[in-house]
Amino acid sequence: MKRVRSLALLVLALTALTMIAHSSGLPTQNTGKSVTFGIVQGRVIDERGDPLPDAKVYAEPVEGNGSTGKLRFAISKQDGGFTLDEVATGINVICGSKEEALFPDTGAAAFALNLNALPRVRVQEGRVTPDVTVQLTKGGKLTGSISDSFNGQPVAASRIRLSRIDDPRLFVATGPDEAGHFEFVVPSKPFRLQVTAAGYRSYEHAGPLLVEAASTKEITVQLQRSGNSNTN
Amino acid sequence: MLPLFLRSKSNFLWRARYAAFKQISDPDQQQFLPYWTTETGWATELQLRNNLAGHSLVVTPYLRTSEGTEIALAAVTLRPHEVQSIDLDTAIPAGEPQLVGTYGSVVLRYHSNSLRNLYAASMLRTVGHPIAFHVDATGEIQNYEAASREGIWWLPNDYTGDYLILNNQGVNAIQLDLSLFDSVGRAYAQKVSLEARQTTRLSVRKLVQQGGLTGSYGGIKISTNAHAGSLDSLHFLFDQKAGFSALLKMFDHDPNATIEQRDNAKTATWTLRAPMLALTNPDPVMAFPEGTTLQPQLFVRNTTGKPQSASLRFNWKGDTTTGKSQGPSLQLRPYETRRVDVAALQDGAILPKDAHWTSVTITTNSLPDEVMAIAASYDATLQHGAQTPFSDQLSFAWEGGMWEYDAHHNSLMTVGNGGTKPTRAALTLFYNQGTERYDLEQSLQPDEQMWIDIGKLIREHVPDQNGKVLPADLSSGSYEFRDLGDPFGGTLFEGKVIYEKTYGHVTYGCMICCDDSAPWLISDPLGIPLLGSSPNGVQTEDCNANILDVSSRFYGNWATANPAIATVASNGTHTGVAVGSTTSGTLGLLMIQHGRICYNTQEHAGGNDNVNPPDHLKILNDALEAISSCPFTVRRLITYQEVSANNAPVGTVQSKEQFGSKSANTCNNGDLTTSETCSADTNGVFTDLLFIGCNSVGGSCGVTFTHQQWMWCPPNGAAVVIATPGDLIIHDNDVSVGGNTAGFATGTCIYASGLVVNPCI
Repeated sequence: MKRVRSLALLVLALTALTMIAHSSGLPTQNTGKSVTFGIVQGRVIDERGDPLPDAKVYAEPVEGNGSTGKLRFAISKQDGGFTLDEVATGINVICGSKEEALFPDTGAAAFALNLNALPRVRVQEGRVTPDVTVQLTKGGKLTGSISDSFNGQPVAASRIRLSRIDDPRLFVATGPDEAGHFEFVVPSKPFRLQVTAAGYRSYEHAGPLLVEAASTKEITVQLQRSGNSNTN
Repeated sequence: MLPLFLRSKSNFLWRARYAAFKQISDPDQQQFLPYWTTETGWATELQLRNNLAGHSLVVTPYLRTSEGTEIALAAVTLRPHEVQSIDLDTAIPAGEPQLVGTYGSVVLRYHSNSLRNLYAASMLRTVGHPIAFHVDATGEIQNYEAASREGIWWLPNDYTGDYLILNNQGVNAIQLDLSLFDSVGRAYAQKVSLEARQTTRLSVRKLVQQGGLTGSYGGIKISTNAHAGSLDSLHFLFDQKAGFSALLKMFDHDPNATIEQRDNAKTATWTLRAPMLALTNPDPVMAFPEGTTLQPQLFVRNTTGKPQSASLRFNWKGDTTTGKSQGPSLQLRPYETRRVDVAALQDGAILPKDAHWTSVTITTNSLPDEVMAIAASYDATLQHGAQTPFSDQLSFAWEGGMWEYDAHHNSLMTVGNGGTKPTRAALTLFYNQGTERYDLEQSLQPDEQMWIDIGKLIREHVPDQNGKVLPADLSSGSYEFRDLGDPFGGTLFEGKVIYEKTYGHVTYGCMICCDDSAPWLISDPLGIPLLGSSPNGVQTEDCNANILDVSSRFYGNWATANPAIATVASNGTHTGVAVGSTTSGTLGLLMIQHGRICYNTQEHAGGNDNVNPPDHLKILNDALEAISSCPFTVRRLITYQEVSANNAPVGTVQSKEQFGSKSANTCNNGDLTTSETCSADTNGVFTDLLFIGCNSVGGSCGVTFTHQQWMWCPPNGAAVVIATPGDLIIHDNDVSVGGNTAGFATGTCIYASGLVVNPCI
């Protein structure tokens, strides 16, 4: 199994099914009583302007309306079209991804090529906000494994932090899978990679990590035990 | 059929598991070439192409002597789509004198999931003469016992030499009945024993003389009652003085084969096609000497002891025109071989005099391979000419070997629609060690063909569908065809010739169909919620290692072993009836390789089913990240899977959350959405998004929701608590779940009691 963002997105796509299921008559999610909703419709395209089917699309509210509930997605159709229902009213950023085709999740600030270029829409209660274009730009795949330098065993209980060199406040922190593997689909921007785990010295990849678009970079992280435990 | 989005998701899950599985379980694959030679005047070249789109392939060739002793050559690493050639004269290791001046067969061994990840062929050439043969590699067929190899012999003059090669690929001796027939079906038979891995070389001319047969053509039958899947044979003609060579393709006759298995076009008729028969007026691109006139002819043979009928039709091509015509009908007596003079049909009524090419289609009332044919087209001297092999094979995906273009060579290819409906064909040329591609597409009506002149594409800088042109100095590469109209069955047939301008010699090459692997269920074991449902589907892998969802081909044949535990609908949706385990499976048709051909074969895909109620949550991922809508606020995404008491996935269920209390939002930016009514979690997976929204008040702010619990919503009855993550403290700069702010490790389980453990109990 690969990790982090991929698994998250994978699972998120499953969650999207929850949303799609709503339109087929299954129960809808409950919401806080003060939260009101509208609908956003649009199209997902790639950097060449071609329709991008099977992309995941979701809304991030700018004016409050946080969440403790299930994350919900729409999946773009063959012509790239999508409909997001139950979008919290107010200004929202419309985000998207298609990680299996190396389009990073623009909802994570660290993985958005240009935050200012993300579509921002005002959603009104019960109204449809149409013609929203979500343009995704192909990135690359950063993949790797985390293991104990002494015995080669995976260190599943570790944390990986990827932060942007141009703005370190933009980060993603997560863990590898149970086999110590991780996988990120990232924009072609320089990143800093750090790995921490209890009982091990912190690891930082030497120099910026830049993954060219449509390419894969593989990193092997071997964590050294802290103290004398690695000499036993 | 599963919804597309579900299939793609499950596919991804499976790929992750499968990738790990493949690392340890890729089987050893073997393909065989029936003949190599380093005898004086002869040269052998191996051509290897990696069909995998994303992985390198390491292939080790082993030369077998005629007695079957193996000697390894250096391993070759092929990058994705790369084609390489190996000249045996230089590849044979020093210190192996037993490989010089002799002949034998070749084994190609590699680790891969599918035999067809490798395309392999050999080129046999005579040095200094326009003689060359293209021989395709094949795999040994398991559980293929009583069958025959069927061929046609042709001795166009008294000087032509010939070899009939018999090769035993396997480790069991094969007892053969070798029969030669004259044109009217009179037979001469003898016994031949082939020891394990042995290669035997015979002369048809000598056998014809021994048998007292007369005439210049007839039939060959090589039959056995056991180990037919290990038998390969090769028959070719050569005359160095005249500069003549011909490869007489042999066919596998399986007495158990049915029309349905081999009938991609759904015509219920045994049909053979030869795609590129050169007509009397040769195409100028072949660069034959001016005034060359060819004598195109067909040999059509009845391989059985009962009468057969056959009909011919043509689809011809001139410089600027194309057309279709009906040829003669043939009534074939038992074991008869009939010669059809196509040159005589170029009388303007059936075929135009100035046409350059025609495809030939033979339809019969026979079962598969009861009628076979070869085509040949040579001038009176036999020096100039071309061949095109007959085949029944239609496919959605063809993988080709090497094409060549330089001052002395060019390659001409064709792909045709053998179906009864229009389709769209796609050609991809790979070059620069497989790293570059050139794509063309064309719609094809039934019987229509797309023709590709590689030299013209290069010389005239013809752009592909993406505007790309081939480099002017490009000299070789590989290629593939795809049927875009039917990505599973397909009705394309194909042909290729490479002509050598110095001698005016033309060699044909065949592609291989890109077959499917044995199928598997998308979810195995499949978790099924008690009184709930879970979808399942079927996947396979093609020769490029692409994972294909073929659930639609397995529709309607699903069954479970124990309906008291679980039932299954026609589309693979399982329903849990009672807690327990059972198995389920389905049947469907896939394009599977059987030795030298692929055809639709009924395949079974099965797996285990577990019906369990959800018991607790397992964490698949836990991420904290800055969010794009307000980059200096964080969100936490915890992805959970609902699992049974023994940590098995339970399939699609409904769930909801509940809280003990909710504090005011100190960010003062509105209420939070929650999931406090039941909703479906496909495959039992959902992601909890914990996010306060954008903070406009400054400083750390947020909410505290106490005692978060996740509950399973059974189809009947009250919701059941399955996990208690605990108190949520959701702030703009941090998110705590049950006191955990660092993030849960993947694999951690959370139970109804609030117990949080890793690994799960």
